[in-house]
Amino acid sequence: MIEALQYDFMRNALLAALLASALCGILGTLVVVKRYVILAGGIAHAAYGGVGLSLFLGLPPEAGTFAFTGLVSLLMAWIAKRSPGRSDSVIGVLWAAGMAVGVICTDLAPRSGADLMSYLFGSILTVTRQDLLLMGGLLAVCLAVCATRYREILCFAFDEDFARVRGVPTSFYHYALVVVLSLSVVLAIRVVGLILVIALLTIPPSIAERFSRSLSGMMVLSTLLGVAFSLSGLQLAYTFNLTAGAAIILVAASAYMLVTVFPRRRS
Amino acid sequence: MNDAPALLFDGVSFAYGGDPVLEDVSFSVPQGEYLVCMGPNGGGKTTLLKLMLGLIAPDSGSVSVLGAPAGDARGVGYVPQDAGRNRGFPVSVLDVVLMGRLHMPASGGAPGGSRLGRDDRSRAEEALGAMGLAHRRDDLMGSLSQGQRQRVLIARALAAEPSLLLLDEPAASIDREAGEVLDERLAALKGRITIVEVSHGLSAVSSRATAVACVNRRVYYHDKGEIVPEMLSLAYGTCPVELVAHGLPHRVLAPHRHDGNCDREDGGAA
Repeated sequence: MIEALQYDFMRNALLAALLASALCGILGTLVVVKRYVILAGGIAHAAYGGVGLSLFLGLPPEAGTFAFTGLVSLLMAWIAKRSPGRSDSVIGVLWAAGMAVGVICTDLAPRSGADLMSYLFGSILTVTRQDLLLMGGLLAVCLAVCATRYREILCFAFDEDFARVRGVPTSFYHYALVVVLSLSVVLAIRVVGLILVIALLTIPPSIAERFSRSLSGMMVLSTLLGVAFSLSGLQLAYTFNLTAGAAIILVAASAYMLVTVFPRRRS
Repeated sequence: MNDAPALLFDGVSFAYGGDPVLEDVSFSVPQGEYLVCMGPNGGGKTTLLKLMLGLIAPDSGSVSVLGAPAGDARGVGYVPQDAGRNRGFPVSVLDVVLMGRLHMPASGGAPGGSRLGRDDRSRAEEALGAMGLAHRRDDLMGSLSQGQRQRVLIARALAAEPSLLLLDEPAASIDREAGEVLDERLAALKGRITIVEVSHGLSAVSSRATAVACVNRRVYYHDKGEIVPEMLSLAYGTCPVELVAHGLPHRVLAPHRHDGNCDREDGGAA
C-alpha cells in the first residue's frame, strides 16, 4: 500500500475514500436511526435519472444531476413526511422510475458516454481535485452543524414529536437532512459509485449502533469503520487487481455478517 | 402563572380524510386538575392530545392551552407512548432527560443545545430522581425495562418544568408491577401541576383523577374523579359489564350507579 501512495491517483483515491467515509458515517448514522435507508436508496437510484437527463439535454453532468436528484429527493421527503407509514412503496416507484428515465435518456442521447458500470461502482482511481474539494466542503458543513446543534439533532433523531413540542424546527431538519444526503450521494456516486454509497451509508452505522453509547460516538465509530473497510478494500483491489468499490463492499459486508452472528455487547 | 384555564376547547371538530374523529368538542380544564381521558380505541383520545400539543390543527373551533393558542403555549410537557421503537438507539438515560431542557428560555445554554446551561444538568437529574431512576442516569436507554423507559420519558417532560403535563397512555404495554410503580409516581405529581392523562384502563381514575373525560367522537367532561355509568355507556356505547368484570376497583363507581339501566351491571364486580 505504501508503495502505491507514490502515485497521485492512489493518494487521491485514498483521500476520496476518507472523505466519503466521514460523510457517510455522519449522515448514515442519521439515516439508520431515523429509518431512512429506503429513502437514501431511492435518492441514490433516482440520481441515475439525473445522469441520463443531463447527457440527453447536453447539460453539464454535475449541475444536471444535482438539480434532478435534489428535486426528486425533496419529493420523496415530502411524501415520507405526509404519510410515514405508506411512503416506502411510493419511494420504490420513484426509485425505479428515476433509473428508467436515466436509461432511456442515455439510449436517446446524441452521444453516448454515461457508463452504467462506472455509475454503479464509481471511478475512485480517477477522482478529480474538484470532487475532493466539494466533498471536503460538504463534510465541513455537516461537522459544523452537528457540533453547534448536537442536542437538537439528537432530539430530532430520537423523538420527532417531542422535538416539535420543544420548539425544535423538525421540518427544517427533515428537509435539510434529505437535501444534504442527496448532495452527498451525488458527489459520492461520482467517486465510489452507487452501490458503495448505499453500503457506506448503511453498513458502518449498522455495526456501530451495536457498540455505541451515544449518537456522536456512533458517527465517529461509523467513520472509522468506513475508513477501515475502504483501506482494506483498496489494498485488496491493488494487490489482486480487482474493482475497488466492489472489494470495499465485500469487506464491509463480511464484517457486518460477522458482527450480526455475535451477540450484542455494549454496556 | 396566569389565571387562564389550563385547557379550553371551543367547538372543536377534527376529521381524518373525511372521517370525523371529534365533533363539536367544548370543555375547559382549570389549572391544577388531574384529568384522565378515557374511551374506546379509535374514539379520538390521541387526536385530542395531539390537538392540545398543537401537532395537528382543528378543522373548526379553537384550542387554547394555558391562555395561548395550542402549539404556541410555553410550559407544556409531553410524554409520548414508548412503543419500544427506539430500543437500539445509542443514547444514555441522562441525555434523553436533557432533551427536555432544549429551548428553555432561562437555562443560559446555547440555542441548539451544543452547550448546556448551568441549571440544565441539575434540573434533569432532579426530574430523574422524582421518577426514582437517578441511579440509572448513565445507563443506555435500551438497557432499561419498558416501565423504566416510560418513567424516563416522564422525567424528560418534567425537566422542562411544565405547568401542564400531557401523557399518552403511560401504562400501556408495561407489566402490572411496573404499572404500580408508575401509578405511585404519577399520583405524587397530582395537585402540583395540571396533568392530562390519556388512559386505556380505569386504575388511573381510581388512584389519581380529579376529573374524567370520556372521549368517543364527542367529549363528556365530568369534574370529579369518578366514573358514573352514564359516562361509560355514552363513551363506550355499551353496558360497562366488560370493564367492570376486569377488575374495576369498586370505589371508583359513584354511589348512584344502580340508577343505570344496564341489567347485568353487577355481573362481575366486587
